[in-house]
Amino acid sequence: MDPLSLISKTAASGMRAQGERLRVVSENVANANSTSSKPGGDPYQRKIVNFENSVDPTTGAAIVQLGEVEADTSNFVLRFDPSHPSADENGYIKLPNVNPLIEMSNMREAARSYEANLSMMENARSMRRLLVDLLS
Amino acid sequence: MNTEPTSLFDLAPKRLQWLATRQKAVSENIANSDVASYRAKEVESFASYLDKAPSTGGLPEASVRDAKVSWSEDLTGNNVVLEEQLMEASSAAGQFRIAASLYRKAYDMLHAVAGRR
Repeated sequence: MDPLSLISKTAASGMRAQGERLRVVSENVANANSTSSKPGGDPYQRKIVNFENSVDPTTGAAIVQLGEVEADTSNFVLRFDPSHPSADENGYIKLPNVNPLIEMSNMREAARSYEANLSMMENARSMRRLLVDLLS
Repeated sequence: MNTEPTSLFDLAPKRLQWLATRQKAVSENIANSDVASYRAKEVESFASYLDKAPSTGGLPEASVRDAKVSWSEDLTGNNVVLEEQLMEASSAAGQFRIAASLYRKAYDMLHAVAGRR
């Protein structure tokens, strides 16, 4: 397959991976305050994405895809709130280890990488148009 | 006899092929810009590609190697810098445009000599 077609494949896989990453970020943000339903239980655990490179079996294009989505094992935030239904016997509730600032910067980065992949796709398309124009 | 137009017909496709492979390497770098410990790739120089490519017959693909220079590297050892890659991409796209229009020019020259039919 010619390099210009492979570029589209590669860029598309990159865009898809960044989209998936954005989805995980949005899951984290949505659950930033999700506590446990039972007293003293663990709240929502932040998720981390991993990217890995691989090769598309049909075209041989180098693509990127999302690896396993891991759980962030850092400590939960403790807050003293005895009246809360999920508070333990000492009156503390565990809040998710989601930091909205980190999630926002993660989101920005995903959007920026997405744009970079998109511009590669446009680049390849305009290069192919130049070749097709030679025919006219 | 001036043989320049024919050598241009030989050179331009090689240049286009090399630039397309170069663009492919950039695209892979950008797609892998968030993969842990990924190393940026680049294609061999055009001179070494010309040495490899036969003057007649098919066009081989330029070989890809790890990039020699990179602006920086993150904590996982990934040395893809998006700005650097986008600069590389636009430079390759511009040179592709030059090569394509040179090919066109060579064709127009032949056309001018051969006359319109």
